Amino acid sequence: MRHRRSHENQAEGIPGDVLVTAMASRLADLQDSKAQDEASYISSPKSNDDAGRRALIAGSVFSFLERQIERGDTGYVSLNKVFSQLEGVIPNLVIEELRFVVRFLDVSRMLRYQNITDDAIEERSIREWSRLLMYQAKLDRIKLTSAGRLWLRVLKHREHWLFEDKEVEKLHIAITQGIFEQVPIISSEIITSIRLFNEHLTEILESPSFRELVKQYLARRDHFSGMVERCHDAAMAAINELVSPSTKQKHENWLISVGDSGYTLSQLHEYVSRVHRATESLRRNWVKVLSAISESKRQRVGVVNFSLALDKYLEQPPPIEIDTYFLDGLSGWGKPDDFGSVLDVIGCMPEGIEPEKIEEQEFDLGEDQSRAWMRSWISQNRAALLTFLADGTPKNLIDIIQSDQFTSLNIENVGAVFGLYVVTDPLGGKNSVIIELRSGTSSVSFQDHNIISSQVSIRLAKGGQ
Amino acid sequence: MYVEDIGKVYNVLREKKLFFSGKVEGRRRSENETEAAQIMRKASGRFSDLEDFLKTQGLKLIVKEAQHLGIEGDCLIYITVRDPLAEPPSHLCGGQLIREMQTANSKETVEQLTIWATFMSLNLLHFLYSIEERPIEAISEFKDSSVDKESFLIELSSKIEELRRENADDDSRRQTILSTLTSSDEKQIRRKVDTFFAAMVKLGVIELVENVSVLGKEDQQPVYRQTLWSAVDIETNFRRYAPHLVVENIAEQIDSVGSGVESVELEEEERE
Repeated sequence: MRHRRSHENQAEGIPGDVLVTAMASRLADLQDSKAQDEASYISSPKSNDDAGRRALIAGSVFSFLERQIERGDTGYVSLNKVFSQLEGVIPNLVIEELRFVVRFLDVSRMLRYQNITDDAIEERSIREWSRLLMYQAKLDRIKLTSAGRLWLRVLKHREHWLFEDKEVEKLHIAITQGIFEQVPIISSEIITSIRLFNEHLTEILESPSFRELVKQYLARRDHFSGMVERCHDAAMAAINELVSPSTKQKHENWLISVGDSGYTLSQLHEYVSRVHRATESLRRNWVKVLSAISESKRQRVGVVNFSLALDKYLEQPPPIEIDTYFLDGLSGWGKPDDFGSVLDVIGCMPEGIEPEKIEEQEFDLGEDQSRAWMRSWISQNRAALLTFLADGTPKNLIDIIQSDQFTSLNIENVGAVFGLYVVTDPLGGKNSVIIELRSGTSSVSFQDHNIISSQVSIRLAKGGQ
Repeated sequence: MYVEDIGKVYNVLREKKLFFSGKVEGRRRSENETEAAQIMRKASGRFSDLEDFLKTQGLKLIVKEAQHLGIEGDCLIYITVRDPLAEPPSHLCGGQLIREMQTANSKETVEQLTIWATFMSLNLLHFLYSIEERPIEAISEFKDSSVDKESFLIELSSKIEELRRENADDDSRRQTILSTLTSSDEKQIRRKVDTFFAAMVKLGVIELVENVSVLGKEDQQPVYRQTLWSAVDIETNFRRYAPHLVVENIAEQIDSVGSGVESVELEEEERE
């Protein structure tokens, strides 16, 4: 039987450098591996007996150098000084083994990789980023390389979400400062992180060991509640900042400097909105965790061993009525064609409640129905449509209509939908979308008196934003 | 919510058992689903009319979020399961699995079919839950559950082989079960598994996993997983329809349960 409850694999208690080394180790091993397509299993190199000690020494050296930086000293440190600090911490440490470790970390190794550019594969390699320490043999002293300094920063990453609100605040800063190219990058980082946090909370909620797992959050309940709220507030603030007049001006200037490759305000709005939706969802999940704590008496079923239940069923079978009850339970509703009588439904209707006033919708009765459908379809799909047409090139209307990204649409008369439609983007900007005969269509074919749909194109009119 | 809107949403829920509030990559929504989603969006959380109506059908509305379950998209998912506290109206009562398993040339009695269906259902739950040590409450893990006919058949056959060596009193129910389960040959068992899987797919308990297959005896076999609806339904209703499956000695069967004692300790800690 497989054992894989994921929350047992938390990284807590593992030193940061060991954790990161473990995570990168197989990628490093992959560099030296031979392809064994047919191999029944994939092997991995075995660590030496003294690997643990070497990891301890290397980790201690970095900790020592980090403390030096804290004090403000980023220069070379003599190995004797390092040794005198570490010999009290690491039992039986001899300077030779310390020297071996630092010399080892001074040697770089080549790492090869490939980049895909314009459909071509480019072979590349790096060497310098694998060398973490500089060791001067003559003077017997060491210093962190740039890679070593980055290593220390990487180790600062923590597998918790204590300060996630600060990440969301970066969005607001990026928009305020006009660093618009960073918005999609930051948004994607936040969404990934928040979705993981969200799923982690669900995992806790669904676990039989719920109370044990939630303790770490309970200990800091106020902080987490505040943090989740601040995440949401920061996302809202970013959206508000994006629609402000000053941002519009900054964005226009930015577009001039970056040219066609820049993101439109609508696109940026979609990125920030996704963050907002993620933070809203997180907020709701956090509330669920808090309310689950108050449901203290609800007993969970937990993991049921159905193999054992089957044995019991075969040993001491219950009456057949229990089997039927169980089977009806497991497979849910009857089929729709089993629907017996509508009388039951009507007889049980709840008491009528005065509906709330809904928005009135105006229809132009003089307009052809196909055109009305087209207008309604454009309105429903406006966000996706504007993104799809953002590059300005005409697209086949039929491809869009049949795409999974858009809601379905049936038009009886294609000819009736030609024309200009005004589409309002999420920021209130007016965009003109034109549906027309495809340019270069020299003759129009008719099929059942309608224009063949593949000849119809849709595009964004220039200067619409 | 207007009565007409309630009806439209109910139709979709009855047909699909659940629907999404927005678009999901690679999944085409019907017009009815899109309309139902719009109705729900317009109601912005005020579902009490719909909930009252569903209650008359013995049903309960559950809203889940794709983000909470770790599935694609950031939309809401509206699901209806039976309300464990309500009595369903007679037109919604069961027997559907047995009906699905009754093939045209089947000579088996309803009792025999019930025995087979129970036997295979418990095995199915073993694959969907026990093998992965998945708690009944772990809805979000529906997406990682898996079962294929070949492994299912191996498990089933080995169980049946064990049963062939057992005896029981002639007139006991146990004897009926043993004789029912041991009277089929491998070919017949395979056919039963096919029928059972087809029924479970039709009833929305399991669904095909796209782009995944396992090597069977002769060819590549499809892999199935539990549906989201079934995961939510089991989480909500398992205690109601299968309390007899949790054996008397709870420690024997359940590896960890949030007990009352534990929660008292926790509350005390919180007060401190």
